[in-house]
Amino acid sequence: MTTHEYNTCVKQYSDGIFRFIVKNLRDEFEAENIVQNTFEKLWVRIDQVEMKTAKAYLFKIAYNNMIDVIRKNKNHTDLTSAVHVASDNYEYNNLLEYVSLAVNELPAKQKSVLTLRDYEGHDYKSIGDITGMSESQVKINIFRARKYIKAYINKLELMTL
Amino acid sequence: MILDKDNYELIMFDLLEGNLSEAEELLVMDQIEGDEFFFREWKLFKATVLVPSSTIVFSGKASLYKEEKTVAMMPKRWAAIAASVCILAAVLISWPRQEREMVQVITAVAELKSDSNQVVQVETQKNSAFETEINENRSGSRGIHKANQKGAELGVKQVFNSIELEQIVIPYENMKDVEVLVQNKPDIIQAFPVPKLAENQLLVQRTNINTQELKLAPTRKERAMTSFRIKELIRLKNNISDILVMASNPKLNINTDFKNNRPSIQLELETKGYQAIASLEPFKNRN
Repeated sequence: MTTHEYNTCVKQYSDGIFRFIVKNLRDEFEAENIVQNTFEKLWVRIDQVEMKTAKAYLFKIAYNNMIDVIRKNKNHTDLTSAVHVASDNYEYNNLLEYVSLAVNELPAKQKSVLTLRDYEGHDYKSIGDITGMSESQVKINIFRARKYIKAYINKLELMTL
Repeated sequence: MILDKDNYELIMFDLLEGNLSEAEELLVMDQIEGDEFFFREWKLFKATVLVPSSTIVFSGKASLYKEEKTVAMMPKRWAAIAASVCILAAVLISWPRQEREMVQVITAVAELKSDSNQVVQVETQKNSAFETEINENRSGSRGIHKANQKGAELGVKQVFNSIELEQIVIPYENMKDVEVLVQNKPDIIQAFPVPKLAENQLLVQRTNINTQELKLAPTRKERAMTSFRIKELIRLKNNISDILVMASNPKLNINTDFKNNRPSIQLELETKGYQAIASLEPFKNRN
């Protein structure tokens, strides 16, 4: 990969990785650190990574960093109680807000695969490569996540009626 | 593929994920639209698709960019001019050698056929290029030295301890006979009178040297460098002067014919060495 291609990766993928991490961690500061670390690692291995595999490579590094952060946070405090609600400011209507709330309650694995699927349009295989799951596991996790969100929205809508 | 209360979630999930074929999609959508419960469930399923917010952007992008090494591109016009100059220079340098250079080759061969103790140095007076060829008949070894005037003199002094010079001027037109001359040495040399040194004459130096102290000529690289510096520049200069001579005394004739049905102009350019004719018919046929 050339320097130009690296810069192209920054331009194309940094926002997507940042969104993915923010959605999963709900911590903008931590997400920025992870994006920085991710691209630093890509720069160090610039000779070994090809442009066509760069996206999956970047998301994999970011995902692993994120898992490390989640584990670290679990040791100190409950993640849900230490919410940096910055991401909540981005929601702009009721339905999306319900969905966002539902996503926040998903288990980490389901949240990750769902955001990779919907935010970045990854297929089951590449999500599996990033998260280390099999394709069928990815599919099951996405199914469970959608089912949970559907039930969550349904419940809130019924309450507001 | 029939929807029921047990399987509808899996089928709707596949529909949402795009895992069904086109025919299956149509079949499932027909059932969804025909049933109020399925329709509401399908709406909820569709709402589970996350939409990335365009307002969430990474603000530290600028710090991630790395400086790219850019190569300045030469404008096309200048590139074309540079290429033309290069081609012109290459053509001029590789122009066929003039007669003067052929003389040098002849003399180089000629001097080798003298006896082992004699070397003839041939120098063209006009361009001061110097070419010496040394041949030792006994051992069969051979060396070639090409240098400019100064370099050659130094080289000779360094190589040869005792030098006895006899000089004779051979008219340029007789240089083809140099081979014979040298073979028959002093007699033949005496057979030619020594005229005044003119521009197109060659100076032949007959030198007695001690062959025991002969050394081979400089390396190929040295010869190539020296030869390129002097000879190519001289040849370039000579070629340009030849071309200028050929292009001298230009005469331009313009013949017009406006009486014909199709008027024409004929241009004729003639110089000492070139002739060019161009016929133009810029107007349409009057008919």
